[in-house]
Amino acid sequence: MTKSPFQLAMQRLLNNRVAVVGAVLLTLMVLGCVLLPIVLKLDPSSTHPALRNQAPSARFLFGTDGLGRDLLARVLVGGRTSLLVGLAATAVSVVVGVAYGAIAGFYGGKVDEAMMRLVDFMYGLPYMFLVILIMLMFAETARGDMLPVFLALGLVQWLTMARIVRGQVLALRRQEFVLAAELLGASDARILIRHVLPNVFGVIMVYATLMVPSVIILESFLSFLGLGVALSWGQLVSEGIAVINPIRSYWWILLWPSLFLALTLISLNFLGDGLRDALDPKGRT
Amino acid sequence: MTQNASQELLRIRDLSVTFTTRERSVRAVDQVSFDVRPGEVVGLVGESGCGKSVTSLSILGLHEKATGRVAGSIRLGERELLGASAPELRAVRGNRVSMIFQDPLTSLNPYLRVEEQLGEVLELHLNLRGAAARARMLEMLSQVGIPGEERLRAYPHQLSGGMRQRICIAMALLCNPELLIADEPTTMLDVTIQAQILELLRSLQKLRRMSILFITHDLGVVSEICDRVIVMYAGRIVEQARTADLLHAPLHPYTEALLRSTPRVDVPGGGSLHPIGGLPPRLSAAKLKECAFVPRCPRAREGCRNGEPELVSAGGERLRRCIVPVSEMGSARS
Amino acid sequence: MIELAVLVLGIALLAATAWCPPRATRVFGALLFGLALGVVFRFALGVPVAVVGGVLGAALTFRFFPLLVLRRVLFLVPALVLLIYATTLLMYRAPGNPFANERATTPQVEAALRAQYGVPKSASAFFSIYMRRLLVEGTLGPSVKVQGRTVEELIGPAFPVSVALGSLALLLSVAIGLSLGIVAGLRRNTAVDHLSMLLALVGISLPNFVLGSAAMIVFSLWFRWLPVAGWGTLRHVIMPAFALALPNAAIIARLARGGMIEVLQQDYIRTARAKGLPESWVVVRHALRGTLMPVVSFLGPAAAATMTGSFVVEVLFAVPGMGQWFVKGAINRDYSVVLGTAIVYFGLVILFNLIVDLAYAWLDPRLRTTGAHD
Repeated sequence: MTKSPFQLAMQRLLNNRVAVVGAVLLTLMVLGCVLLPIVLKLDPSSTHPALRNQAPSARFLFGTDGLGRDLLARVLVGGRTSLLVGLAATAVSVVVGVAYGAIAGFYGGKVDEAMMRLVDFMYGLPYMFLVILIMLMFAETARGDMLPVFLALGLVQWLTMARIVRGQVLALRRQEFVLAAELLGASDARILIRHVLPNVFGVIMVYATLMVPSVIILESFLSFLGLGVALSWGQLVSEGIAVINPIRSYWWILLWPSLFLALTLISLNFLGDGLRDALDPKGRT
Repeated sequence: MTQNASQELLRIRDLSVTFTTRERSVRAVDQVSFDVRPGEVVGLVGESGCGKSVTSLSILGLHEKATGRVAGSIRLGERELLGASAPELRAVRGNRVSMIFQDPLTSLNPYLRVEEQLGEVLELHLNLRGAAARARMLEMLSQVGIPGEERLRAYPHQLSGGMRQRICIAMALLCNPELLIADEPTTMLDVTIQAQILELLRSLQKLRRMSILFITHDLGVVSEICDRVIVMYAGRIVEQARTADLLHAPLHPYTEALLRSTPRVDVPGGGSLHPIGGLPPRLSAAKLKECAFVPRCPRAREGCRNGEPELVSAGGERLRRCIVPVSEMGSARS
Repeated sequence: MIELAVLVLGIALLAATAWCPPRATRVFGALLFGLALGVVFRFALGVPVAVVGGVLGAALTFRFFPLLVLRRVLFLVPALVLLIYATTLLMYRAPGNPFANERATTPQVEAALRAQYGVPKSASAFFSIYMRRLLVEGTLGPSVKVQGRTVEELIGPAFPVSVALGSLALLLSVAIGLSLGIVAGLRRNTAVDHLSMLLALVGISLPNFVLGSAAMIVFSLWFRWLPVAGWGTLRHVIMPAFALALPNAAIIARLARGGMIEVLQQDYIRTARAKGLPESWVVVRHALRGTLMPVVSFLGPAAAATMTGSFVVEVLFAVPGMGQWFVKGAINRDYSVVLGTAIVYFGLVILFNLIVDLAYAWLDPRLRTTGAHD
């Protein structure tokens, strides 16, 4: 009995040890950040002035920072922000990119040419600039409001997704099942959504997975510069760096957020690479 | 070495090429032996996948090294090529033995001008540079029928398909090789250009008394240019004969079928097409239990399933790998 | 609302340049190039040089530049103008203005200040004043927050610092990435390959400030080989440049490896070997060009990424570049400073993209259609 392409891909993925490690690590990270603070009743913001800058101990597993706050709590709760931003902003990228690319690929011809020219030319421009500007400008009013962050960051990444999706849709467009649907009188939208996109799904998943780490890095840039909206890993790293000095190093304040950030990003990249290889072992896309 | 022993230019004995991947082993070429004499044009004929290309690539050691293993003997004059060191092999390539390939567009480097690609060969093997090299290149270009300075400065994509193949031929002949291996050089060209290229090869061959190993699946081309033909199937030689003999009186059912399947223009209405039913077999490394052609052979009989037939002589230089008696084989023109 | 409509219209026009016929593209592209060149020259070298330089530039590009590059110029110069407009709109939409945070200002005082600095209440009005100042008077305008200084004076000293850091970082990225990638591609599926790609994966996954701070701790605090932060000597440049370079180097390594592997499977490589070329010739003379293509096309985004990363690295290592002016300007709502730095950054990236396009066309002769006979 032959296996479906999906099953074959799944098999290849599971054989890829590096990718599996990534997936496991990622799951642990997400679960940890989401559940542990609740389970262990951790509080990231309460200060203990008497216990400032304490090295890791039994009570404070990751130590405390300059204001005596529990670093374990801060890292885990900060992780929620970083992960959430990564996910949400990528979702924005995916929605915009897929819509744009699908339309360009589906209609082809001049429409496609114009749309893709726009993308090609926009490729090298530094959007981060505008994102930083947005964050800077709206920092006061935006405290606690994450939506502009998601939108701004999401709009930085959609170009790649648009290109990929357009390529796939273009190729699928000519296939017989699409022509058959057309003959049966299905509307363009219906064909696109019900017939074409499901086949592009795999590729979208791969590139979405690879996009999340870029967005997380961008968000960490923002919070490192002090432009973050909520507590996140980037902010914690900047706090850690601020206390580096040759005499007394409070290494734990820098280490834990850096480590968690690095591990999350590495596992996302491992997983994304593994997905890409599983989907397309010959590397045609 | 006696005079007789070095009569052949190229002497291939028991050549076997096996490709091994994680899943399985494939024997693409199985115990192939043949000779090419100086000044002779030998055709290597068969369907895609019959092993003819792999055979030709092995001569210069150009096959896939990672997965392929070659056994047997390939002698060029007195030199054994199989297992030769890399420098030895490189001295032979492009120099004593040259090769041209099927797709002239992808066979040429799109980023380099013609003169750069031709110049490399001259610089490497003949130590020619500068004006002397240019002179030789121009001379070669006019020999292949595309004279002119501007050709040298051109990039491959600026030339037509026929011109590109001529460039490839020129490049191959720059060092006056004794043997030219031509792997389906006309397959990707259209018919009129095909004829021109064949004509070119023929005249060059006569002029230089060069040997050509001509690989093709097209019997029409074979009849145009080859002195002798070797027919391959499933990685082995199934028939060998002088061209005229082969085309007039094939002695193997596969050759018969090939001839029959060639579309004819001299029959009114074109005649009906006779494709060879079925597909070529998948070649494992195991020994064959029956003749490889049995599933598709119209002349198959009991004895054919008793193991693979031997390659036996059929008079003169003729060889055939079939147990069907010669008397039963009809003439090609039925 | 009108302003938003204008923005959308602008984007639509930009998209429409795709339909511009070759002749017109060549003419307008060259003209715009000359104009941009003239404006830049004006800053450094004065009006007469600007005019001469602009005209000469236009003529030369008309004659010699590939069509592809002129297409990009036709798009990018108006895009720059549009970006300035968009930035202006953004700044005006944000709460606060340059004059709000001073001691209590009466409406009359504010009006006077606005008139003096040329910062009217409407975004479009500001835009036209700004553009006129830029094109006609050749200045980036006065800084609202730093008394008596123009923007050029402020960011002037910071400009070479950022450019030096950025260029060095890009150079390092390419050097490290190419070497690693080519070796990995040539030794495919060996230990060297796997190790290099693992390193590359880690390089992509670490934000530059994490790498930078780790380097800081190791090389400045533990080994004391390099200064912790600051600028001025060669030793100050090393860590920031590497921190900025490594993530891009990792991406380039992967691209180069992929490119090399793909090129080595091409027919013309087989031909090269069939000619008897030694493997070194095959790699350098034949395989390298094809390998470079994906790397070169990444260089545009790489420049943008380096620029983005430079903000963080400049902060981390206290490098006196343009990044600090941008951030300060944005926080203080100093519109001219923000626009000034934005223009310089955008301009640099655009310039780089053009150079990359030219390099791409030079590398691949199939893309060249030079001259006025398209």
